[in-house]
Amino acid sequence: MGISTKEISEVIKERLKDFDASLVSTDVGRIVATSDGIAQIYGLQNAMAGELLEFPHETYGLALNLEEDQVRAVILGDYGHLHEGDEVRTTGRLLEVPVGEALIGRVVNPLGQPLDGKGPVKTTKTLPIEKIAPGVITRKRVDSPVQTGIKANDAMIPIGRGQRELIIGDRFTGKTTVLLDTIINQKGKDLICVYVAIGQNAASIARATATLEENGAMDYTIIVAATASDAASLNFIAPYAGCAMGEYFMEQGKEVLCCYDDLTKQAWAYRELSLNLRRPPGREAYPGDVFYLHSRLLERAAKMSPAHGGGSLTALPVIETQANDVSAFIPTNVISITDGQIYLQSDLFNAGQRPALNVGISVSRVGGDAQTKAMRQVAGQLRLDLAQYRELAAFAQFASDLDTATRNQLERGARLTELLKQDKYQPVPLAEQVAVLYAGTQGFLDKVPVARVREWEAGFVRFLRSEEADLLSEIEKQKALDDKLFERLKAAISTFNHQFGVAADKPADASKPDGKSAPKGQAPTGTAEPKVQAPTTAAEPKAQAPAKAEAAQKPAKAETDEERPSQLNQIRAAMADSPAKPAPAAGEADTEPKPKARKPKAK
Amino acid sequence: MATAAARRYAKAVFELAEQEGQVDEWGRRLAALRQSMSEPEVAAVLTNPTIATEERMTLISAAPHVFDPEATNLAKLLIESNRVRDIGAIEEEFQRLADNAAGRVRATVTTAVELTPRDRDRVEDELSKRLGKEIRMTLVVDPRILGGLKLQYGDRLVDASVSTRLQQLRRRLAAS
Repeated sequence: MGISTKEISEVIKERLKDFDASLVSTDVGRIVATSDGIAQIYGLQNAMAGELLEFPHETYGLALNLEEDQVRAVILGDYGHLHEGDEVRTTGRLLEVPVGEALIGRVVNPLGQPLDGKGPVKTTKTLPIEKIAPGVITRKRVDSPVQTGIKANDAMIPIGRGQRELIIGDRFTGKTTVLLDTIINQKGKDLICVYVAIGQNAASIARATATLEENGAMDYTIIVAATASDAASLNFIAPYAGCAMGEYFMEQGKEVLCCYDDLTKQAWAYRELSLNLRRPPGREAYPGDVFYLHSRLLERAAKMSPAHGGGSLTALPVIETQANDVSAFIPTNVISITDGQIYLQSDLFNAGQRPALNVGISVSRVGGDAQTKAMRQVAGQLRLDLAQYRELAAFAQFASDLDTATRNQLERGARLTELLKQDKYQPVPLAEQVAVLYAGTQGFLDKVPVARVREWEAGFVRFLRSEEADLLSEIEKQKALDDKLFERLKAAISTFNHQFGVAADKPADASKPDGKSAPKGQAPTGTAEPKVQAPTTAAEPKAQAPAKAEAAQKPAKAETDEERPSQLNQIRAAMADSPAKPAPAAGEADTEPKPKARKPKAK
Repeated sequence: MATAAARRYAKAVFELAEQEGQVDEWGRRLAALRQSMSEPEVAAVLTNPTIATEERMTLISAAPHVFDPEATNLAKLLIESNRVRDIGAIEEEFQRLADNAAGRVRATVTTAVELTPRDRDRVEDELSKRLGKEIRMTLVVDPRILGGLKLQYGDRLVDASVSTRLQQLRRRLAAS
């Protein structure tokens, strides 16, 4: 005991030695009035905009309005104990948060104070929460992916490192689940995750924390939590604080993922502050600079060039819409700032499509570059197939009997949709995604009943893990598929299909007329189209004269946009014809079990 | 506290005073005006909107022995423009301007125990050397600062009080 007291007194002496240097010389002012978390301060003639102010009793504030004869500041945290006449001092600093490795695995408030009861956070450095985003010269093109572990995302809406991808949807559509899935999927990878909860109830934050903990994701995650009961000022600074904590790692050349859940609430908090600061209200009572509020935050997401450390910060902001209204003020703002959006829809969610991703209007503006080659090879066709499926499905609701080709496409689409379903908190590794989607897009699943697709998928993944583990690791390693791997994959699927009780010959047959499935030349997305068109041309001569004439000009300009209308015309023709000539259509389907061309013909 | 309006009135008065070379006289006038106008009863009458403005103005001009003509005019102006309540701020701001022009600084020194005249002179000399200006010092005794001194001039505060240092020390030790 004696030793330890001595040590302690040594430490204290040490501290006292260098302590004496600090003589406080500051600007002071006095509180004239406080209300709604805003303090009006007389004096402080030399205060800076955004400067940290010190109130009595360890309370801090942020100078936001510098007016002719007073300063208005928001008080960070509680303000019940502040009175008129209290002294306010400038600190000469901008608002800063502690940063560093010690934060990882912790739950902190936006000021960096711990909320998880695990003792003080031992950091040595701080960074200002507001920082100008990296400039053009210091950046690099976004070129590597963040694997979300969500099949629909990774295949069709890939997210690049340094990208800003918005997650938008109504309440209760699985927005947070997408974030948590993504964070969980980074286990064992090199990404450091920052999850910023803004204005959520404490129970939700506790649930998210528990989920991350259960899945071992807290080893590389920081949670910054501003709950609904915290002051609006804390909700307002939370995303900036989280971003600063992430930026520290980015500056060290590490890869960071920042999730802001959600920015709607931050906008609300900022609106509250602005109105209390007597700033003029604009549209929906938001202040004039609400766009800048989000743009300056999201602009801090960056992929740095190797000369500047080569780190990256990916931003996944969340926006909650009301009744699917994406054209409201804040959603349109953030949509225009981000590099794409993942749109989650409540009707899809309620229909059991989870994640409830609307593939049609979800986009990723830098995604293609950032996708791994293997995924590009396999998923290039997926988006198109699903788009066509949706068009057809809308029409097929009216037609009772369809020609074989249309029906085939509908069946394929239904299976692909089924294949994209996924349980929450169960991210799928890249190689498994590639294998499963390959089977889906190449028609190996066409014989599996739609209701059993997920069972098939689960079984197939189990099969791959036990029997073909080296195939998976090979895909994971090469991140691209060559002919040999394609063959092995095909063989594996056939073997499993056999076990699963699905005729082995069918998929091979089905994949052939597909035309687009030729595994070899399936390079970047765009090139697939001409191949799709090719069989159509070949099939055309069989069609009726008018249809032929119409279709003849189509293949000439083989483009994505051209394809859909032509197909719709064919369906319309089919629907118009079918009541008149039911027999030939049925006959054809019966006598020709496998038509040479999959494309619909107007018969 | 000086509102924007008070600042403008003070500036106008000061410029007038400077032109006429009557800065000190005006200072006294303003102090006298402040003293009488900030009496609650007087202020209540002078700012009462149910009494006609002219009547209120005659209240002032009917008592020529209280204020000299210049002060009476200023009082009437303040009543007319409804700025009677700002007189305190105007006087303060006027003093500040006058001090500035004369190269004076008003400083408040807060100590835990009363300063001896020698210490007082030392503080005054030091500060005056530092700022290059004449110092008008006000002494305040506040036992709550425990020891040391606090020096305030304008918005600037130099805090060398024991209480603040202890607070800092506490924070430093707790931060480990």
